[in-house]
Amino acid sequence: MADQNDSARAGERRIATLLATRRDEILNLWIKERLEADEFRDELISKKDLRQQSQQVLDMLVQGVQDSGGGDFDHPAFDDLRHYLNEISHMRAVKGYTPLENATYVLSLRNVVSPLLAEELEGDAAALVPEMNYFTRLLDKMGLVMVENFIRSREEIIRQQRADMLELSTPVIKVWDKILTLPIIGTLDSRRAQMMMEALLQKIVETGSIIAILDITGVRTMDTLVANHLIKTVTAARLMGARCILTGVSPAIAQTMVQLGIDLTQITTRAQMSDGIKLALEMIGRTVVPTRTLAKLQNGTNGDQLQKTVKQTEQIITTGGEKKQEG
Amino acid sequence: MQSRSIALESEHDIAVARGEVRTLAAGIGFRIIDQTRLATVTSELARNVVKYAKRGRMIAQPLDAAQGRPGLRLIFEDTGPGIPDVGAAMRDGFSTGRGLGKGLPGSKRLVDVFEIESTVGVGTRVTIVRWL
Amino acid sequence: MDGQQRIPILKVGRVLIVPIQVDMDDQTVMHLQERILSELERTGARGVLIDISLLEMVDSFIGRVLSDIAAMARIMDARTVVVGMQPAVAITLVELGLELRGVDTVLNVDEGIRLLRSEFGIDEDEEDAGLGGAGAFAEQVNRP
Repeated sequence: MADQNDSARAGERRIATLLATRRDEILNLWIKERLEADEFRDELISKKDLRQQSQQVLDMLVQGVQDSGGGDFDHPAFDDLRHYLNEISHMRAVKGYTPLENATYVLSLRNVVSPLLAEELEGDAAALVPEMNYFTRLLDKMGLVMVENFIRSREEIIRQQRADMLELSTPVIKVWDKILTLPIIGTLDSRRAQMMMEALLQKIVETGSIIAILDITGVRTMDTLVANHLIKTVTAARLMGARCILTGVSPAIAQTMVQLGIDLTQITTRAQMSDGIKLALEMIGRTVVPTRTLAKLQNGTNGDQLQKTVKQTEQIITTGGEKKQEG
Repeated sequence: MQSRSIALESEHDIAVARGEVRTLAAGIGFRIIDQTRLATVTSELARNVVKYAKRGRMIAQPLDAAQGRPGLRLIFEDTGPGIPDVGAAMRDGFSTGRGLGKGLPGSKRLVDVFEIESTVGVGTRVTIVRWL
Repeated sequence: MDGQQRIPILKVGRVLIVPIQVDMDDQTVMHLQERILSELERTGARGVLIDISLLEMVDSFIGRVLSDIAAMARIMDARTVVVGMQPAVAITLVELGLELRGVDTVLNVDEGIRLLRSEFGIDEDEEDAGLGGAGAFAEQVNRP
């Protein structure tokens, strides 16, 4: 790094002086160049915010060059700038900037500053080259920081979204007092099966449910690993005092399971989810009957009574207060 | 984090060891389910030491990312009679004590790494790791 | 043993309720088994509810003792119900390969009482005894 020992080292970096004295002019040019760039999208940031941000970057850059005595970007004097760039690129990753947009932001500053620097140092080629090299090197490092942190932030966001999706894809629903359902949809891998199991067991405790219906209508393929997770879930639920009913086993999956030698004889299965719900209700001492049948059972053929019972039953259905009315 | 060594010399030490492991595991950031797995494995393996070798110790080593991958390593070592047939001891249903023969093979299913070295007349060392 | 932990045994109607609230060492577990059996003999209780909802771990030893208690109580004409196993404990037990054979498990104390009454006919005639408000009727039978 020959130019580091050049003339400018002794005194102030000329670039720092330039950035400080003609700051507003540079800022205007920089923002203008950003606004005109193809990749700029004004829905992501307001002009005011962009201006404020860019001014901050410029000020911190000048500060860094001065405090480090014209040192490289890894000098501690640039720490503030580095943190701020990290912040900006993180914010940009969250807002959905493209990587190109993010990378060209800092680098475009060179296009703005180069002509001004040449103008400033006109006729002093010996000073211009090292100043230019120094400035370019700083900008490259700054660009790298932006890109690196942008990627890291994006990865973090993807990880988070994946976790959210996993959670979304295991909806445990309470369908009746003491009855839960878990509709399983899509492809089950080991991780998802594990999360599903934990979510279901936790919900069993929280809701005091003694029956869980696992519906696999939406499951396309079944392998030994997934089947074992299912069996594990059923066994763990039993240890906690809850029973599981497996519903929606398609012919294809039934075939696979038998061919794989998976023993499901310990698990109660029903073809349709509705059959599962019916069985679950019976297990907690409830049953579903046509209202007219119910009325006849209770009151013989008395017309008025029948009307009354139908009304009552409707009320039961809407309020869900089946307990008080039973017997 | 520092590694810890706990003497395993009485039945009470088994409870002490699993309490210690649970606290360590929680500190490292393991979820409840993994804390439970680790405490249970500790209970099984510490009981083996106390029951068959009378005395030994457990060494708990928290692993951080600097060592490759964060997790918890537990080593159970004793200078007891040793296991003549490790292969048989690792099969479900094998037991020389009053247990149900689930101790070793069951413990293996609860962790990511399970290594056992045993020499008759010298002693036994079981090393387990659960990754975070 | 100096660190002997005391687990209370409550009697409600003809049911013994055993709330386990600590991580028990082996001595305490064995001692508890003996105490439950002697309380069954002394009180003539017909059911045992062992509440393990606060227990953070069940290993093969505790698992075996729970099975043993159930089998022994059965010989003494009493039914045992294990209450409130936590999800993490249940998953770990399954992975360990234990299924607590011969032990009935239920979600909570309410379900336990319901099971003892409806399935085993214990305390059926004591609907009015107010098992819900166990505190008022519980007789603590902690004898040394």
